[in-house]
Order: sequence, then structure tokens, then C-alpha cells
Amino acid sequence: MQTVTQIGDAKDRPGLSGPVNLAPQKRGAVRWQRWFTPYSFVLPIVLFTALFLAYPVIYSVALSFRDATIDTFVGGDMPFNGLANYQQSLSNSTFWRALLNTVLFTFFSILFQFTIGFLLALFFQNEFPLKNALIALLLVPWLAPILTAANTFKGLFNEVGPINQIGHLLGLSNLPWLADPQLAFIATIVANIWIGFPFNFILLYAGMRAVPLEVYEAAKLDGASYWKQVSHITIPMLKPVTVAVLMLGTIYTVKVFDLVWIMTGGGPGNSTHLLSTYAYQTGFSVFNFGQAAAIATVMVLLIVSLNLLQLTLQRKA
Amino acid sequence: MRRSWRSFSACALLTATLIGTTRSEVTTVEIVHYFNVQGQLDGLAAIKSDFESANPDIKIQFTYVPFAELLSRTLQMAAVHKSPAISCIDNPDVLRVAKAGALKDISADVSKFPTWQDTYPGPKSAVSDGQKVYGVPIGSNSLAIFYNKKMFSDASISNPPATWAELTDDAAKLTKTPVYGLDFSAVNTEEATWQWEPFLWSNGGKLLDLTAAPAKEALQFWTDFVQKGSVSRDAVNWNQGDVANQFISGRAAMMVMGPWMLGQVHKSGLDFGVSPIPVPKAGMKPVVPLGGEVWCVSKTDEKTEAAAVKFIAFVQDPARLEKICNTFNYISSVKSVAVKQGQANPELQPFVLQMDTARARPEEGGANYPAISLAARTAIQKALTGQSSVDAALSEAAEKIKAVVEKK
Amino acid sequence: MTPRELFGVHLSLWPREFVFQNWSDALRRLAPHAATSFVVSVATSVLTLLVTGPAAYSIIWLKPRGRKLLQSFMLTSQMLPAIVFVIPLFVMFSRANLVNTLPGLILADMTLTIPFALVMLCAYVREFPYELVEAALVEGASQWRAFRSVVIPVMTPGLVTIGIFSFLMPWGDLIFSLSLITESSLQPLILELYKAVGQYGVDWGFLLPGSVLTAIPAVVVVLYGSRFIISGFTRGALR
Repeated sequence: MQTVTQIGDAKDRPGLSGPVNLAPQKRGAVRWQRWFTPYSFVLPIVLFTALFLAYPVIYSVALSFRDATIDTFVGGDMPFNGLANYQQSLSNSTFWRALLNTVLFTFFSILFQFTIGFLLALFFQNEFPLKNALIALLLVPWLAPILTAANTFKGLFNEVGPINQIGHLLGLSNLPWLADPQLAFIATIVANIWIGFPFNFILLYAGMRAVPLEVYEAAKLDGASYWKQVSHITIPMLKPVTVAVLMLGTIYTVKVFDLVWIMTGGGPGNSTHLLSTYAYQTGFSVFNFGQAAAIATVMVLLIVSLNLLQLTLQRKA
Repeated sequence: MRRSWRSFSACALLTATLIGTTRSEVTTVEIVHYFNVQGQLDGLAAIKSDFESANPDIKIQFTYVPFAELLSRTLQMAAVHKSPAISCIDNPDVLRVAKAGALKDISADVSKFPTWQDTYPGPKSAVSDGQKVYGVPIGSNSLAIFYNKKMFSDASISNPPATWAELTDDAAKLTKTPVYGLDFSAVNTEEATWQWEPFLWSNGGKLLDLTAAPAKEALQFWTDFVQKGSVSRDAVNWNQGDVANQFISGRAAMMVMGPWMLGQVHKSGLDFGVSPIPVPKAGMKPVVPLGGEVWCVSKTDEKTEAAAVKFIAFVQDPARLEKICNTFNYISSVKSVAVKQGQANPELQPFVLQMDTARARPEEGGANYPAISLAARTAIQKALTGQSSVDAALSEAAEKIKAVVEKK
Repeated sequence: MTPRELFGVHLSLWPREFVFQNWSDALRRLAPHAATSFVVSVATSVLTLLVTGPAAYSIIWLKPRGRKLLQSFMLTSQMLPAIVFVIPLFVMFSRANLVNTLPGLILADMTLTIPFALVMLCAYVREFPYELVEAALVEGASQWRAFRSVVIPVMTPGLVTIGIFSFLMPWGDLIFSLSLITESSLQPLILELYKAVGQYGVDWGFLLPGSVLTAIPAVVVVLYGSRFIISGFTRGALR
């Protein structure tokens, strides 16, 4: 059984073996070509990364060490102020609240999104009429502009909105979803799950399709039940895709911004702030770009540690 | 053959240069704004065609930017030295942007405008820093109480509330599930502070002194509404657009709102009236915050700046000003024009009356206003949702404000 | 449904008056921007695949040196929230005169799609049976030939899936369009839709029909693409 430990090397293969029977004079050219080809394949992406990804990252980290507010930003000279931005953020209670919220938000969102996506992907391995139409329908939450989804959810969770009306039918009283600190937080998580599960669903679905049917048939011949097949074939074979989906899902969830910003604006009373909304508020409502960059850098560190955690757990499993 | 080609190309080149030079005489004035209601856009188009026919060497280009993005867009453009000629900046932000060095001081030009002397003190102070002037207000607005006439008559209330006590009573009387007596916006943006300021200031309170009694009373006043159930708990999530929606669809009997919403409320066919902000005790004068956008000239180059000033002079012409303000649902910042507006339209009258005592928001804290507002509205939200007591919330805010102010 | 009905006291799901006007207005407002959105999304998708496809294959199977660094950098850059990219890219693009141009927007959107594509394609590529390439190499093909004729056909389902995502991401991207495009004729659909959120409250009459109209092409692309994915897989890789 393959034990894949990280996104990295493929299972060890004898490497480039190359053509064996070649005339000697071609060998030199072939050798150079053999050496250079892998690099030629990655050349475009390295160029792109250096220009458009590396520069912004470096710029942002550099910004976090400077006093960059509205005054200094336009003027252009943003004096270096060491760790001041970080100190200011870390001593701010809203920052810690946002950090805690981000961790909880990510954990619960991923948990439900992945599970729902996985079960749906399993379900859709079967053929049935209207399957494609259903898939398209299930993708709507993810395809619809976040703008619309966020505003719609804001309306749904209105004190006299549909969700409370359904609650009425079930005998519950009106819950002030978006006005109560805890409930508002739950509401944002629910909305995020709705938006995010199609992503997990479709990627896991594609991954499952790649598992050759023969393997399943062999297992069936051996007398394995459906769930045994799933746990012994599907899940292990999906490991690389699962790791990728979870990793990307975590990153994207930590970065979620529009949804929470539109639904609650970080309120009420700073109770639903995520690091992303808090950074935005610091940057664009109070115009302290240096501090916003510092918060963003903390976000990066958070994601890195979450991913490392995930990988270590993966290795143990 | 070659010779004719040469002379041809020489002629072409000459013509092109001539055309080029005459073309480059036209200065383009780019104006960045966030008006998105059709009526306003039509108004802008009309201004543009009028101005361009009067000034053929200047071309006007309006660029729409969403409300939330305008400020960051102005700063971004300024940072790369590609500022638009004019930015329509919301008045509390003007001094902030000026401090960053993006705006031109137009005090010399402005003193030549006939309307400048007649401008209300409030709007003037919002754009002035000592002797320097950084913009000309397009118009002003503030807040008042909009009330549903039918609900009032149903509840046998004959007059709109004039004092705090009356407001509390009326709101309670008019609250009948699912209708709320009153609505205001306490959302986590400037709108919350803006909506609370009439009550804070009319009571003599100050943002820079939130732990004093007047401020506590003002916040308690608001909190009481929510606790009694006269105001929906969702107010902490509603911006002013949402509040208006509630009022228009009959879910609220009264709302705190400004003149820019008049068009929308009229469109809905609701029978409503407008009355000044209630004061703590009879005989006091309401002190309301000043809203409204400002034509700000960015630092670009001499030609563009001159053209921009010409445009502003054009729209400030008293004859045109009244029409423009009516299209945009502004009260003119120029007293004589505002008085005329109030006489022509009784719904605008409460706003006009309040203009005498209206206060510009940056008067408290100047360039620090955004940070101060943030602290204040966090306190408002915490108190309204019961996360903190009024006293605790205000103390927390006062501390944050102190830190910001002392950082100078 | 008018806003009154949406927020009114008696919430009803069934609109009392079908306001078709909203739909035709929305269609008229959005139609000019559809071309822009299409061009940007298709270009981003194609370019992303062109750049990332060979790279993923190479990283996993051909193993150039420095691949670990590249991969970890890709992941790290993904971790920064978009707003942090906006200002540096804006500054860079202004100097290069790429602001308010479609190529500029495409490049910016690629910063979203390329790291994602690389991570996902690396995962898909690991399932690829390298024996097929070795067989081709034995017969005298170069790596590029092998890549074109052997790898791409087998990887097609994965490539199409990622291609679809790389189409959808710029389709709904708000933050880059907002910062980089002010010229109204160049604005993608999503920006026009964003105008529904103004200081006067949300213009639901435009937002709802507009959102559906904006989502339709995306749904069509997914439906069309998914058929492709399914047919690709039924061929079976190990033949």
C-alpha cells in the first residue's frame, strides 16, 4: 500500500531511464536535453512566481515592519518601526478574539464541508438519470457570486427571516441570529459550509473517478462489502487528493473575507471578526497598512502551522 | 514616385502634428464618485454636457467607484501619482486625505466664489484646516425622524415626537409585533456613529469624552429602546439602506434617516412625514452631524488643477446649485440656497433648520476621526447586544480613543 | 418581487407580481460585460493550464532540483489574503501601464489560479502511470513528445477539472477587478453586479436576476466540462 507522506516526490521510480539503444554521437545532445527538459517544463511557472507572487509576498512582509499609515503611504517614505506593529496587534484583545474565531471557523467549516463533499462524491459514483443536472445544481452555492450568497444569508438569518419562520413551525422562538455574538458566529459558519462544500465535492469526485473499476471488481470478487471497499480502496487511493483538498480548503477558509464582512462586518461588537476581516478593518477603515500587513503575516504563520499539524497527523495515521 | 511619397508623408506628419497639438489642448478632468442612483447619474450627465458646451477645452469624465472603495482608491491613485482631478470624498474623510498630502489647498480660488461666504459654518469647518481649504461641499445632509403617518393616526398620536420622553413613549405605543416603533442603524461601519451622534451631541456629549454623563445618557437612551423591544435587535446589522427598507415595507413606524432617502420613500407610495431630531428636553436645539460629499481637487498638474477649479466654480453658481442639490437630495451648504429649498419643499425644512447647528464630524479629533468612530461604534454595538454594560463599553472606547489621540 | 415583498410583514415565497422588468433590465445591463468576463476567464484558464500542466508533471516525475522550494513557495503565497496582493500588484501594474487593461487583470487572476492548479495537478499527476512514458521513451520519443502524446491524453480529466476551476475563479473574482479596472467598458460582470450594493441599500431587483444571469455561463461550463471528465475516465487508464 502506498504511504504518501507529503505533496512532493512520486513513489520512487528508477528515475529517467531514457532511450537505451542510441548511436553514440546523439548521446551528448540527449544527455543535455535530458538534463534541461525538466527545467524547461517549469521555467514559465518559475518566472511567473518570481514576478507576481514573490514580489507581493516580500512587499507585504516588509510592510509589516514599517509605520505605514495613510500619511506615510501617499508620501512614500514609510519609516521602519521594527516589531511595533506586531506588538500593537498582540496587545489588542480584538486580535486574540479574531485569532480564536479564525481557528474555530476553519475547523468547523472544513469538518462539515469535507464530510458532506465526501459523502456526496461517493453517492455520485453511481449512474442515474439527471445526474449531470444534479451535479450542476449542487455546484450553485459555489458558483454564485459570494456577494449574492452573503447578502442572501444575511436576509435569511434576519430576525423575522425564513430561518426563524421555519423555527416557528418547529416550535422555537425567534432567535436573534445576527444580533447575538455567538449566534452570529454560527450563522457565518453555516453560510461558509454551504458555499464551500461543492469545492470539496467536485474535487473528491474527480479523484474517485480515477480509481480503476477493476480494483473494485477484484475486491467484490473477494467478498468485500460496500463500506469495506470504501475504507480499503477509495480512501487510501484518494490520499493525495484528500491531502490537497484539505490543505487548500484550510488555506481558503482562513482567508474567507467577503462572506463574513458582508454578513456581519466583524460585529456585533467585534465578536465575529476573523483575522482577515480584522486586517481589512485595520487597513481600510483605520488606514494603518503596516499593522494590517502584520496581521496578514500572522495569518500566514497560522496557516503554515495548521498545515504542518495536518501533515504530522497524516503521517501518524 | 519616391518624391511624391516623401511630400505626402511630410504633409501627413504635419497634419498629424497640428491635430495632435490642437487635441492636446483639451484637458481631461476625471471625477471619481460613488453616486449610483439613476436620477443622480442623469444629473451628473446634465452637468457634464452643460459644462463642456461652456468650456470646449475641458472634457469631463465621471468614474464610478463603489462607496466602500472610494477612499482607498483615492489613496492608491495618489500613491502612484495618477490621481483623478477631482474626488468626491465624504466630508469626514477630507481632512484625513488632505493630511496624507493628496489634496490641493484651494483657499485662494475659493475665496473668489460668491457662495463661499454664505456657506454654513459646519460644512466649512469640515473642509478647512486653519486657513487652508481642501474642497468645496457639493451639498449637505443630516438626520431627522421619518414617521409613518398612517401608523401615527392609528395609534392616535397627533404630533411627531419632539423630546426624548415623547420618542420613548411613541415608540413603545407604536410597537406591535411584527412592527417596531423605531429603527436606526447600528451596523459596524461609520453609519452607526453617524446615527448616534445626533443624540450624543444634542445632549451635550462629546466623542472625546465618552465617560462623561451626557454620553452615558445618550447610549443608555439607545440601549433602552432595544431592551424594551421598541427597536429590533437586528439594528446592529442594518446599514441605513436596510433601515429604510424596513420602514418602507411597514416593519417600522419611525426611522432615523436623511434626505437622500426621500426619493426612495416617495417611490414606495408610503404616506410619511419628516420631523427634526427629538431633543432631550423641550427648548433645546438639536445638534446633528453633517453629511455630504465634497469636491476635492487632487494634486496633479497645474493645467488639470485649474480646469478642476473651473468645474467647481461652475457647479457652485447659485443658479445651478439649487437644481443640483435637489437632484442629489442634498441641502445646499450655502445658506441662501438652502433656505429656498426649505421653502419650496416642506419635507426638507427640518433639515434646513438643523443646518444652523449642524456639526462637522472631524471637529472632534480631526484626522483621527475614523479611529475614534470605530471605538465609539464598538461600544454602541456592545451595549446594544448586551455584551457589556453601557458604562463598561464606553470606558473601553474612551481608553482606545485616548491611545489614538495621544499617539500624535 | 419588489423589495416590499421581500422584506414585508408577510413574507411570501411566491411573488405577488412577476416583475419581468427586473430580468430584462438586468440582462440589458449585464450583456456588454459578458464578453470581458469570458475573455478574462478563458485566457486565465488556458494560460494557467499551459504554465502549470508541464510544471506539475515535471515536478512529480522528472524531479528538477529546487522543486520543493517552488512547491512550498506556492503554498505560502496562497496563504496571504488577497488584499495583501492588491497593493503591491497595483503599484507594479501602474508602473508597467497594465492598470485598466485586460492582460493586467488576467495576470492578476493567474496569481489566484496558478498556485491552486499546481497543488491540485501535482496530486492528480501522482496517480499517473509513468510506465507509459517509459514505453514511449524506449521507442525514441523525447520528453516533450512523450508529454504531448502520452501524458496529456491520460491526464485530461484532471486537466479539464482544473481548467474549469481556473475559469470559475476569475469569473467570480471581485477584489482584483475592483482594484485594477476602473474603465467601465472593461469591467467584468461581477463588477457590474457589485454596483447593486450602494449606499442606498441593496438593489435586490438587480442583484437577484443579475446573479442568476451571471451564474448561468459558469454552470454551463461546468456541465459541459463534467461530461468530458466522465468520458475521459470511462476509457480507463491502465489499458
